[in-house]
Amino acid sequence: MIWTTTNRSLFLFLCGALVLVTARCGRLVTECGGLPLNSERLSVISNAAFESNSKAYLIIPNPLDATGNFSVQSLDSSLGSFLDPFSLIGLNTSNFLENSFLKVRIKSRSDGYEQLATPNSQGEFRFSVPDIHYGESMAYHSVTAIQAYVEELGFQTDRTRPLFVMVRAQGSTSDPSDVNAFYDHHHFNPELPRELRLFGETPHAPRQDRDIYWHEFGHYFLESITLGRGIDNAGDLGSVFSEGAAIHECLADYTAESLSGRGYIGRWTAKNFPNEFPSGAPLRSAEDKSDSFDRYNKVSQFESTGANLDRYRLAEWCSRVLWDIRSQMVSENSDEGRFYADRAIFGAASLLKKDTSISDLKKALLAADEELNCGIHTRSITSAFISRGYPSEIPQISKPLNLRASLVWLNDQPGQFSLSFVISNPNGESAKNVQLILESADDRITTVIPTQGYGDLGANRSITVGQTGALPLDYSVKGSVDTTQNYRGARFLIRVKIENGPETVLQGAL
Amino acid sequence: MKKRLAGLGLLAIVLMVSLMVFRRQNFAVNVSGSKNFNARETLYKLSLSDKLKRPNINFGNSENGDFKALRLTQQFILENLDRFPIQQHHRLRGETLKSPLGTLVSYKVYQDGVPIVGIQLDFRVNSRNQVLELFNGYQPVVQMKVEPDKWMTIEQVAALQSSSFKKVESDSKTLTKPNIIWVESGSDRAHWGYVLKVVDLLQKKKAPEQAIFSAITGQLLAREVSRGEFNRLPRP
Repeated sequence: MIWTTTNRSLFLFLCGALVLVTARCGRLVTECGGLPLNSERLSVISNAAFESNSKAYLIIPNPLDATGNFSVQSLDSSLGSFLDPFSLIGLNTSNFLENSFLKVRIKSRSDGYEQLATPNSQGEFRFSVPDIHYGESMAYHSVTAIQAYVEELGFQTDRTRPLFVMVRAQGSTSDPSDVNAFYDHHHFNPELPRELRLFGETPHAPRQDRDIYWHEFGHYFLESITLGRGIDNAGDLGSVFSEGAAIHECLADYTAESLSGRGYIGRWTAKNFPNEFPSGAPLRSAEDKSDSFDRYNKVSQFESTGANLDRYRLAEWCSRVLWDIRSQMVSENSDEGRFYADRAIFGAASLLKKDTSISDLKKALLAADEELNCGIHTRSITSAFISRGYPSEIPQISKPLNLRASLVWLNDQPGQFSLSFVISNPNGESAKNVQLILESADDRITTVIPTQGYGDLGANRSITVGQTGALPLDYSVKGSVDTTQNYRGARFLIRVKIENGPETVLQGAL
Repeated sequence: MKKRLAGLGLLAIVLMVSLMVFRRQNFAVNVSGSKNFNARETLYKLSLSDKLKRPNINFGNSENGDFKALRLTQQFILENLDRFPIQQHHRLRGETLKSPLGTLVSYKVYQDGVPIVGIQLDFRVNSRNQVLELFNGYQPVVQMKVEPDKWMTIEQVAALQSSSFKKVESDSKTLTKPNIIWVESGSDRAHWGYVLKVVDLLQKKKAPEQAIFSAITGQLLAREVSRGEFNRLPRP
């Protein structure tokens, strides 16, 4: 009896202690709202091991990565032996590469079905790599695979409008060497479908590269999980640079890198730009390369050449931060860590606001981890930013930035005006995320490009736009008036907004 | 000894429960710094106040997604009309998407079936049934008068803009009246607009893009720039 009572007490004590320790140190993710993931199904998707009667013969992810041969081209006859069968899931009919959401086309949405890829007598989509129909097959396989992945992670995707993929689109130029890829969400017109358009007819055409489809799908996915408000309104409306635009590219890269498990994208497509990328180098890398994208100040500080107004520089830095966070989660759980990391990072993306910033991204990552994983990665998320040079505390500055601006009428664009200006920072610290904003204070003025971003402006540095030898007016804001009416005296405001100090506001009149 | 052990065990359990309660109370993640509230209380209030308040706001046929999330967010709007001064001539159409962080809810705004682009309301209903405001872009835009005699045709707009833009027919040829109401960023200033697919004649690479032109004056109101991979930056 004595033994039993002591044992019960001891048992009670140990239970209490164990639960207390678990609550403090190692709570299960399910306690925090993060439901368990179906790792088996996610692994099937990762390996593209779908079950379907329809198959396409493809080289995944592209001939360069698949063969390891940096000099390979799509016309190489040896590539035939690298074609492997991959199941195509969800086809509406076995005859065409489309389902209720995804529609693969060649030039435009109005392509006739007779122009498009059809299967052979065995029901297989089997084409040589340079064949345009190979690109269509790659498009269908790639987009359905990445969509299946994010949906299995728990992110329903917006299928209210179809997504058309044009693998050799019409429109940009007729130059076959003009390689490009575009995503159009069509915010303005709810009647229109989404569009992903690829350009280029070269030995390394982007349509043959799965990375490109996954990156472009990443843009769609980001708009989807933010319910169409997006995270870069400034960029949608024509801003050359904004932190939101860089984060859009960063998360699109991460989307591609997440499912592939490779910390880079676009080695095949990069071959089209031999002057910019050494043979075999990717378009962008999320992995540590000790190059100019490794430290925040190298990609964020405004330079008079405008070099850091290339959104991809900050994007590449950002993708390395995300990859560091992911690597930490993988090191904690080699089997499933990647899936939990991808879920947390995409979850963070869904919390971002309309014109987001790097500091918002950091907060959103911490918030998503708190909610999904009990916040157990707070330290590693914070460290990932700090180790890549992002300040742990952003110093506040006391003086507003100085602004001098002049009105410029755009002679070749009737009724449109812009501003030439100089913004200078009189403080001893950097001004963070400098933005110029044009606001109409009069019904006669409409803001066409209301915002432009310039990154961080160093102490005692300045930004000059629209003057001889300086950045052109493309980097300024733009407004318009109805030239048939009297617009003289119409008023507007110009704001210089920064994250770590007071705004500057000037009034102007036409 | 045994009493002390049992006491310590109980103390540990009490501490653990307190910690969990404390944790729950402080859990809500509030991205925009807005007010959160408990969904269960709201559902109860909904049944009491529904008839009184609902006629003031037209939520249209929103009920085609996550019904519970839509109801919760609608009640949130109704209880926070100071933050969401929804106009009677506006119809809010809700859409929902599931995510690991709960249900995302977005309300797009319409007047007489015409989409008002540039204002929307986004919420999240998290796993604890708390409503969190993600984005409030709503503006109490005045009712736009329907005055067809003042509207230009798309042919007139295209002619006016012909030195700068070339209209691409495919997406705009069937328009006989303005297809959107455009609200300028950060303002409540609204315009009847035509969304046309155009090519900017001043750009070297002439990729088609969406642009909005005023249906009253024909002037350019906004353009939607594609996300392109290899666009060259303008240099000094």
